[in-house]
Amino acid sequence: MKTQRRMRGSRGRSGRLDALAVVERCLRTMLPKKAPLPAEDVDWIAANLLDSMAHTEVLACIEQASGFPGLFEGLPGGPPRSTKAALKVLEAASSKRARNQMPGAVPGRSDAGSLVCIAGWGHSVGSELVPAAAVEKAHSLPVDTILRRAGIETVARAAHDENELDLAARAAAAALDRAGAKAPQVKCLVVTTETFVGLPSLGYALHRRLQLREDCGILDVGGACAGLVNALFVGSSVLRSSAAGTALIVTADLHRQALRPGQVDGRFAGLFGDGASAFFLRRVEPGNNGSHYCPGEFFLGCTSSSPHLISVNPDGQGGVQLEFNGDALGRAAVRQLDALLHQLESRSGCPLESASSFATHQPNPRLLEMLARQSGIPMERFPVVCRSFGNLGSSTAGVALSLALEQNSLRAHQHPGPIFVAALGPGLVLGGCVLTCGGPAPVGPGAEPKTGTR
Amino acid sequence: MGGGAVWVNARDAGRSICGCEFRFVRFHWRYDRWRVELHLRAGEILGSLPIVDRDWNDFLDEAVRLAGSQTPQERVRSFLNGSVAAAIWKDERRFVRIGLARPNPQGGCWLMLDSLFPLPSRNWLAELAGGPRVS
Repeated sequence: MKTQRRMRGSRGRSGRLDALAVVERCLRTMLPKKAPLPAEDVDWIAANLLDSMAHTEVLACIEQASGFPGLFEGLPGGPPRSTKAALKVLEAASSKRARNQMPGAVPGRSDAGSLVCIAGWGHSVGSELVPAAAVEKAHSLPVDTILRRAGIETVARAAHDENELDLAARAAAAALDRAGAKAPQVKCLVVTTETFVGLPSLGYALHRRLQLREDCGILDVGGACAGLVNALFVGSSVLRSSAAGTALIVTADLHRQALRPGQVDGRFAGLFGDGASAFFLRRVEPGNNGSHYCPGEFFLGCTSSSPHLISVNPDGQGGVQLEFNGDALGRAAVRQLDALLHQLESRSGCPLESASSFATHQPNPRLLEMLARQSGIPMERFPVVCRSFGNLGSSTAGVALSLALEQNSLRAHQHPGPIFVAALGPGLVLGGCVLTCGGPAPVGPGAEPKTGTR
Repeated sequence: MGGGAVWVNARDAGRSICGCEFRFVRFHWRYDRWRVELHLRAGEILGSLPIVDRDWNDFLDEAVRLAGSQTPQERVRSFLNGSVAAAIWKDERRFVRIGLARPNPQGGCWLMLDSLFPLPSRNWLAELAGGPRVS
């Protein structure tokens, strides 16, 4: 059978795919080595060229190579069984995409197939690093309470003229700079904090400080130490469900003011530092995410087994009233974070051992070490935030994620392993997601199949 | 590049079926049938095996019927990879039997999921009908 060939524009020149080349390349992967390519109208299955499994593989290959996931799902009459039929569907999708990319096209809802990726990141911590001994003294704690028992060496404290807004603005500027973006490009601002009290919200103040556009929406979300995951979830959902193509996610926490010595139990207050983190999210077409990390499926939950381990409420006199059971809270936190990581592993299909980093909440270094032991994860995969900066609230996981992204951007691997993000807050409320880089989830060490895959 | 289906050379296939422990499973719908991605305890990842287990296929058919929306597969996929995958993951008896199809024209035998344990419980389907979550 003689193969018919047609010339079409290349992706680089006209934005359209060389559809025939894609179909034939994929078909070739399932045909015997020396078999000729069939004519375009030959039914692959009726002609005994492909069985049903091979047919599925060819279609999946075309979807991946063309960047149209799900292209052949749900078609009336079923998926195509010939080169001609596949070309027809592929060219229709290419034309639709080209039309949507034309200048002046009105943006609509996000395409279900598009990805959200982290294009920029940054963090900022209080400018003063206070040694543990000084923290212990300020809170009238026995010597070594912070250093030995908790493992915190220094705590990052904001200067007296710094506040959440200053920390947030610095982190946001770093994230925008890393992404090569400017403030007017931000279409949605998502902010989380566990310390800012007052209205207008911190989101409003940051919007003003960064001079974002008037049509850039603001979403202030809660979650305390789990706030980063909530904010990432909200930001990703906005990009997947609206016309917005970018979102800026910011965490900022200033404990210096909220947990002043003498007002709150120093065994608790002494653990906390001040910091902020920011992430610039951008929607991209599949295949165009390059080396950027993309959040996959999120897991958000709430466990009712530990409701009384911690509560922080206004005391009616300008301070806070704290109730906590430190040892039980620590054990519950480790147990829940470990379960959350395994839940994420199960849902994402990414083995824990394949991960490049774990950006988790870190109450203190001792609990982080316990988590690493319990989960069987080497400590070097946790970018350690709490040892030098203390517990930064919602920004702990944020700063850890910023450090993880920075480390991975410097690695030689084109597609470093996934990053697991997991955090929990009082309640316990918990949330996490797995970020993968540059396409399908990588497999773990030793996962090379003995069998073949096509 | 493709859908992740797995095959062995017919000449290397010493037996037509084998059993393995697995760490976790992920379900997906591809064109015409449900398939699974399996992470074996030994570390191998089998990207896409078609489900030919009758118990599971009956369960999946019923799940799709109960899902009842315009895109039932999407709702069922989310149900399977959420609550059902978690229930499987909690079960210590996770085990699969993997079978080989007859050799195809290229001399390879596709791998199929013959059995997946634990077997599905019809009680799990209550979640799709608005009942309690799989626990």
